[in-house]
Amino acid sequence: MVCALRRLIALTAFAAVFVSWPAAAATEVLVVVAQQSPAYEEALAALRARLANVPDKVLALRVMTAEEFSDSGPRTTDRILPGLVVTLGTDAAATVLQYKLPIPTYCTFLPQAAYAALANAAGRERAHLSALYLDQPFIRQLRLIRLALPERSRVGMVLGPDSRKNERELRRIAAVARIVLRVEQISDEKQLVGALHRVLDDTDILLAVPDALVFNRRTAQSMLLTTYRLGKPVAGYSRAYVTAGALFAVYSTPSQIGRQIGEELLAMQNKADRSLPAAGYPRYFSVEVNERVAHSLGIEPGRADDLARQLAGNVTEDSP
Amino acid sequence: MPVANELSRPVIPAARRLFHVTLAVPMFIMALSVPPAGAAEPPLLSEEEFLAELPVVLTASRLAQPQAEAPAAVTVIDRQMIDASGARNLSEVFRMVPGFQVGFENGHRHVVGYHGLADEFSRRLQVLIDGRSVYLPSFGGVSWSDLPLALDDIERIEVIRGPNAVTYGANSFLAIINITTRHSAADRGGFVRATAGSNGIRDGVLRMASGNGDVSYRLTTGYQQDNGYGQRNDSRRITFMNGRMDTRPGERDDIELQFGYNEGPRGRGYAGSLENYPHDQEITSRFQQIRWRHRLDSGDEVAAQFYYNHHESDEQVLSLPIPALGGFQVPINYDIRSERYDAEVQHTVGLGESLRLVWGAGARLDLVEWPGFLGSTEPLDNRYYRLFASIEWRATPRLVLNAGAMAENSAITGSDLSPRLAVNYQFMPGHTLRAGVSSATRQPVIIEEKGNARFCLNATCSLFDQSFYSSGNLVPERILANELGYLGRLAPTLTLDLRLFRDHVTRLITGFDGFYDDSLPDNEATDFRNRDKAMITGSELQLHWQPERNSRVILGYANVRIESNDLDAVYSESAPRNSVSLLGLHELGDGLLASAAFYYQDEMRFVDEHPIGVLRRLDLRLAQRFHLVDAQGEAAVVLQNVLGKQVSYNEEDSIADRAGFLTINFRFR
Repeated sequence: MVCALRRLIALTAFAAVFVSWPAAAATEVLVVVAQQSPAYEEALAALRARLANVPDKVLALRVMTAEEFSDSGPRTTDRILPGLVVTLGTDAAATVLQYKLPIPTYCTFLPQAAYAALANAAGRERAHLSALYLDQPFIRQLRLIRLALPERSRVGMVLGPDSRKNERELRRIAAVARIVLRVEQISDEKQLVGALHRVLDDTDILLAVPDALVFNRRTAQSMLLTTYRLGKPVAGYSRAYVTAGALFAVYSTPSQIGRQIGEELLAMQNKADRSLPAAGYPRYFSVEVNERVAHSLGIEPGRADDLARQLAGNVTEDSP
Repeated sequence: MPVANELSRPVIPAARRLFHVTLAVPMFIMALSVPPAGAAEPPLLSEEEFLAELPVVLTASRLAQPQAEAPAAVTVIDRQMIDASGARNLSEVFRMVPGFQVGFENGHRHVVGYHGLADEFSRRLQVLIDGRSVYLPSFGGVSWSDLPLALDDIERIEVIRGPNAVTYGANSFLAIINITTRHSAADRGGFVRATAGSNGIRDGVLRMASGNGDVSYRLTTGYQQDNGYGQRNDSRRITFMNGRMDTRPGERDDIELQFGYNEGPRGRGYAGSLENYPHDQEITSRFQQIRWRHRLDSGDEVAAQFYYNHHESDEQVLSLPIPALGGFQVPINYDIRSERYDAEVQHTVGLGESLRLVWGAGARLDLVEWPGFLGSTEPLDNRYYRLFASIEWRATPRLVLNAGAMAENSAITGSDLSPRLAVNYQFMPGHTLRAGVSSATRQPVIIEEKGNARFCLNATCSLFDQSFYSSGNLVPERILANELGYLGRLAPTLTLDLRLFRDHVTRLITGFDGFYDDSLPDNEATDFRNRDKAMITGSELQLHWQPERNSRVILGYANVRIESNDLDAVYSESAPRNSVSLLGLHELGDGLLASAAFYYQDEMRFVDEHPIGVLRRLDLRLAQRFHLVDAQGEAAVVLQNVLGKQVSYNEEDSIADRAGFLTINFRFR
């Protein structure tokens, strides 16, 4: 009840604001983060640094947590008239989007699957929505495998409820990259070990993609142990995965995401209609290699910075 | 010994059998009764998945040694090689390993030896299946036909060329064969294979695998039949079953349960023989095993296992009337029952980034009941204990040192120590040199230490023939192996493994005709003494080229020279001077796979046998994969020994002829 009432108030207030949005003034950007955390701080610092380089300060940042936004957010924004809301993280995006504000909202720092679900639920307000994902484009991950392990062209994946939505697209991209892709679909984390055994039977490497139900922090241990015992490497999706035992990963750091948010905001300012950029994957990324695991598996994937440099060498391929 | 007494089976083994069957059944009931998981509302994927720290799963103590840092030369036989070799028997795949000899004494007694020294019981190899030693305590060696295992259940085989008692336990003497079966989660669904071919070959395998969540299980049952060499009574009919269950009761534990059963008649004897006329030997072989692995917070690991092996051969013969004995029918009792209980605990400790310690202890009880050959109707036992520790020290990223020792104590032979030391130096990326010294012992088997076989030649047994009489007091055989190795990646698709070895084997236990203390005129019987020694020197090479996933060429070569103080050169001629194996496999496209295996070996003779001439063997296989509705299928035709007759074990009656069979399998969900 309270929630519905809040939404109604917010909507009424914003309808007026949106119509009379002044184009000339410095655009107020409201940045909503889930809560204070070192990762968000790092991203915000990079974002501020990027904007600070611009002599003409056309963007004014205001940061609040999702909780503050819920408590006083709609009223505050009512007073300040933000031109844009930028969310960092899944929770922040979910909080902001539930108000269905008719203000352009740029959801960043969140997995593609989470954004897809949120955007879907947001319904007709989609026109004012866009995103900068935290995960890496599939083609980039395949290219890393190609670069690091040229002779291992058979890639296995286990997809869960989140990740399977992209299966057709994954298969299309793999075919373009001339990678043989074997996919096992599961609907419960209990099926993971069996699926790993089956998928790795005739593949050379496991490409892990996050999935809220089946591939996550809880299952990391079984996943890494099972694949390792089968003598197969794992291409992970975060630096932590590499530390834990994945062979390598391509990932974007918070500051790389922050830097790109800044660039996208500036690019928006330069556009006549100030439209949001298309939803997309991070432009900047890092590569990490677990040398000890590589050594133990008798694999020589090459040095992390060399791989990152080679991957970055052909950015155009990375557009989703 | 009166035959009638032996025909009534004792009660205790039957009760024990029941006990073991009842042990195996609950694990499958457990597996079947897993509740289905409930559906939950999927939460949104959080960026935390990308940011959160994870505990280090593959800690230093859990990381396996890469081959380049292993203290020994290792040949890996994977599934693709097993298939491509055209092997129908497990024993046959070892032809692909440099330095190995494979001979069929008859259709069901296969001899697998490394660097010679093998008679029809090859006693100087350790053979492990999922960590379980299948070495028989009765006459030693491995009865390859009696293993309750389908070739289709094998994931991979590692052959460690050289002794390694520290890691693989007692009798890891000349080499170790380490077989890993497939995890039960790997083959969900059904699998069926049917094989038919020349010489009465009729095989079938049926496997079902299922599971849910943290429990998975597999049940394989099979049948194997052939007429052996055909011209003699050495056929076999094998019925087997095995089961495996893998569970994960918690995040830190893995439990693996296995059982297996193999039984059936094997043909024995010769036409025309009065006492050893054609008859059947009934084999019953079974095991149960449990393995548990527990991960500690520190990243270290504790593993424990227990297994029970049972091997039984029922074979009692009443000879035909022998005219020289006034028509007396000699009762011959070949019945053997051997049992092994074995428990082991192992702890792997990471001591910083560069040092790892593995230590543990084990205990074993062997029971052998072999009334006809041990002179006792009671089972004879041997208790055996071992303690082992090894360290792996990565002194620099390029220099690795492996050192360890096993201390063992046997009720028969007392205490022994087997140390090991190896240094691996990577002098260039992808190129490693290895130098190692390793020692091991071979414990005498019961027939060697306590053999006492007497055949009564009249009703009161006042006239008899003593065929075995061990004077006992044997000490273990000892090997001191020196080796230099090189392992190199010459190109991304080409690896080379070179090894120079010098194995000094002392106190070799040799059977010979001795005189035992008896007043009868014929007082000669086979005795065993630590009489001989042998110096085995030579080199081995293995080249592996894999330009494509389904295109491989694997070349093996060995040069072996044995010098010994033996009589009649029984040991010094027991290995071929030169031997070559060449396996090639290639996918021709559209699921059509062709493979060929060629083997060459110089003249040799198994211990106490006639010479085998130069051997050239060629096996061919052509397979087509296909889909049929939901099933994946493969049909293959295999031609073995296409170059024609080959002496396999001895030139008298173990000559292999051409053989061919068609095998078809389906895999379905």
